[in-house]
Amino acid sequence: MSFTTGFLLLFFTIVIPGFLFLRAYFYGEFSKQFSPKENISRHLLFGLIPGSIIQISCFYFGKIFGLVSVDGTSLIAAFETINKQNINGDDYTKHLLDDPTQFALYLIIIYVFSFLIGVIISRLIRYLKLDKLIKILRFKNQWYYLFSGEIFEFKKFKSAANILGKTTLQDKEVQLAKVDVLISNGGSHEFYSGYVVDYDLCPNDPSKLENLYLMDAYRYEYKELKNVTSKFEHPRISERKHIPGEIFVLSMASLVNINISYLLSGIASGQEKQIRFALKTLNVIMILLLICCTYLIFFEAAWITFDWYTSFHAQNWWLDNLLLTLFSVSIVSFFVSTKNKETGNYEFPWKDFWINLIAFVVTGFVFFGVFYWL
Amino acid sequence: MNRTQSNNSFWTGVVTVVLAGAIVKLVADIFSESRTDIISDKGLQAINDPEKKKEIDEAFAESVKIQKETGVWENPVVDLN
Repeated sequence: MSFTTGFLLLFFTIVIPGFLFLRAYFYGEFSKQFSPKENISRHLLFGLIPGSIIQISCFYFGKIFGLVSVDGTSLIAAFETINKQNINGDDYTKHLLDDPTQFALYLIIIYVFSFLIGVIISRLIRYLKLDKLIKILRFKNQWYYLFSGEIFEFKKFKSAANILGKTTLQDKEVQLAKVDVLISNGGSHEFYSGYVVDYDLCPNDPSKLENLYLMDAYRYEYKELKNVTSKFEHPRISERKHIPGEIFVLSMASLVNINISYLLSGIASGQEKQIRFALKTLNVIMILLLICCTYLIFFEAAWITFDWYTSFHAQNWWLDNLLLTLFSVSIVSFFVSTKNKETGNYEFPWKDFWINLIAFVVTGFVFFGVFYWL
Repeated sequence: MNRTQSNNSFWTGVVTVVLAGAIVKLVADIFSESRTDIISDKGLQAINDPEKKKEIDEAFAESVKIQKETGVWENPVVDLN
């Protein structure tokens, strides 16, 4: 039974946060590689690493910021006591278990945090295109990268394109993929083509395709030519037949091979990719800086010994905190670029600059006015 | 006292709106830039537009023709903007 108690503890504190993190991390097309129905034990096992990191980080930062009052050593001792089923023998454990709502609340916060951190990390990786730059961050769904054409943004494909002198993807982006699929059907082969709109991965093996959804699909059939003089014994020609309907679902169980070609279109944005990347990164840094500033304004950090900061917190008036936050927002906003919806460029428009300047002057004036004269 | 409380509420509202606005703006940008579609919105619209689809089919046919002549595949380019 001791195993059951220990396992339940591990399950609720480590495994579930890790599982929630993974569920949020694999989003959109990448959720196809995360199928809890089929691989629940595998996903739970893989959730141990992120779950442990999240749990340790939350406990550590919770202690620093004074949100967690429980001592680490006492907590481990309590876990050991619970594991040994000797709860009555330890007063601290009894005290912890007297009010389980506190622990339940902590777990709920951890679960929400795990899910949110999964959402944020995966979106940031995609937003900054880090999955294309760093192999370890790449999602294990090569079919997505193939069909979306993002595979051309991988380092090895880029260098190959440079060696071959191919400049087809410069200032252009992939709009859609057209496939020619050869399927084995008994002894014969069937050939289809169409535009890829969706696909399913095999639940047991996400590296394999299960179904392919095609629009504007065609079937190619061989037709034997009769009464024709030819050097071939059975001369044939291929005939293309349009498959009527909206979407054609093709089973990939007997896939022989697949040929993909891409339709490109010019990028409306004339901005260099490196500049776009730098501006996007700057935006993320600024928002993180803003969150940190807000926290440090509302909660005094012991490690900041700057005189003005300590005297600011000595007054501890919530209106000062709010006004300083507003002032910080106006400063940070100077460095946040705006995406132009028409061109896709990240810009610092003059209109935004003047608004930020007015906000900076007004909020600065009001803050210092309230702080020093009231 | 009531006037101070009213002012405080006003500033709280302003700060909350500005902070929330800045965060929502960036989060919306991150979400729109991190989409995982295998076909773009423009591409999907184009293959459902008979004129554009004809243009796309012709561009693919032209690429096949160029490959037969030169031996090099160049993906077709159509302006969908």
